[in-house]
Amino acid sequence: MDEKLKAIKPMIAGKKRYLSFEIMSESPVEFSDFVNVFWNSSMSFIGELGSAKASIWIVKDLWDQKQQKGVIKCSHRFVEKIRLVLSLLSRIGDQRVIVSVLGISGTLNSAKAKIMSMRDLSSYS
Amino acid sequence: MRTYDLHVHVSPFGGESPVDDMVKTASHLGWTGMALSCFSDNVASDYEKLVKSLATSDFDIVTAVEIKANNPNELHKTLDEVRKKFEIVIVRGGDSEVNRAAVETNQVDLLSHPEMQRNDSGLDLVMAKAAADNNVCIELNFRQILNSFRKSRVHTLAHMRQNLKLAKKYGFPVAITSGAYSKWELRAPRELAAFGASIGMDLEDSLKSLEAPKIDANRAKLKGSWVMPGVEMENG
Repeated sequence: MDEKLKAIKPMIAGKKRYLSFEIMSESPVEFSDFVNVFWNSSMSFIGELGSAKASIWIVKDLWDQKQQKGVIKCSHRFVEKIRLVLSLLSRIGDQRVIVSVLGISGTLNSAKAKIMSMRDLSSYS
Repeated sequence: MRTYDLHVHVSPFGGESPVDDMVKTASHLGWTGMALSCFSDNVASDYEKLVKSLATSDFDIVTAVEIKANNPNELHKTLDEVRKKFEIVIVRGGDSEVNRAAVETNQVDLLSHPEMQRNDSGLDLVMAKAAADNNVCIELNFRQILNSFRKSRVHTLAHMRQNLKLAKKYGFPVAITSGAYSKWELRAPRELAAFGASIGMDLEDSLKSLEAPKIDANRAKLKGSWVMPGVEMENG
């Protein structure tokens, strides 16, 4: 059985940031579709090495299907590039989308707070 | 901070999305205002009335025209016709002669995508100096990146980076715009700033390039209170 590894100190692992984002589209998009399109965009724009350096992690537990909001974890050095990768998403599946960043935080808790306190998009078409 | 998207097309003036949809989306994304462009060869008679009726206390609308000229003569002729009617004058770049004529006059506010469909960045040292002297903004059009892929996107990015190097050296203003024809091509101001920052601008300069200081100056000129740079007549 695999032993759980000890946590690496932040000084070695590097600083991280959490980008909370929202997807605007005509009808809701699935999380798995978003993940596929995001990784394609990331690979094509910043490449495999860049994506690895950016330490990208899409936090599945924080995806809000109803409000179409989620959180991406990345290295603090790649925040602007990940923001750009998100804004380069123009289609998810058959749907045209706008992905915009709601806020950036240094901890998961404040990222959650940003998602929970954001505006309701139900009136948005 | 005030942020303006200086190059947006709406339906029925050449774009795909209706005006009110576009305004609603831009307002939601956090823009202070935007320039709704029409084409110089097809200016509707009710353009200004319709566009101005959409402005609210929370969202500013700027009148803009995009000139599609085939040669410098055509450009100058059209400039004479439209300069006193619109707050922002955009010239569609791409042709080297038109690019050069556009930066050599102070009647132009924005030279749009000078690198479009070219094998170079569309600007040379002489044009860069002229753009700085005449305070002509050079556009970084996000739509050129959004709708291109692989090789063409790489070339467009390389040309934009080249223009940014010239901007740093010669000091002409740069404007980052969405160039949107549909509401789905609009992006938030901070996202466009990230685009500028990622391709070689300082983040601060990138944010400043969204402020569009020319709007206030041009409005004062159109009102008739403008005399010369730094001198305006007071009302009453």
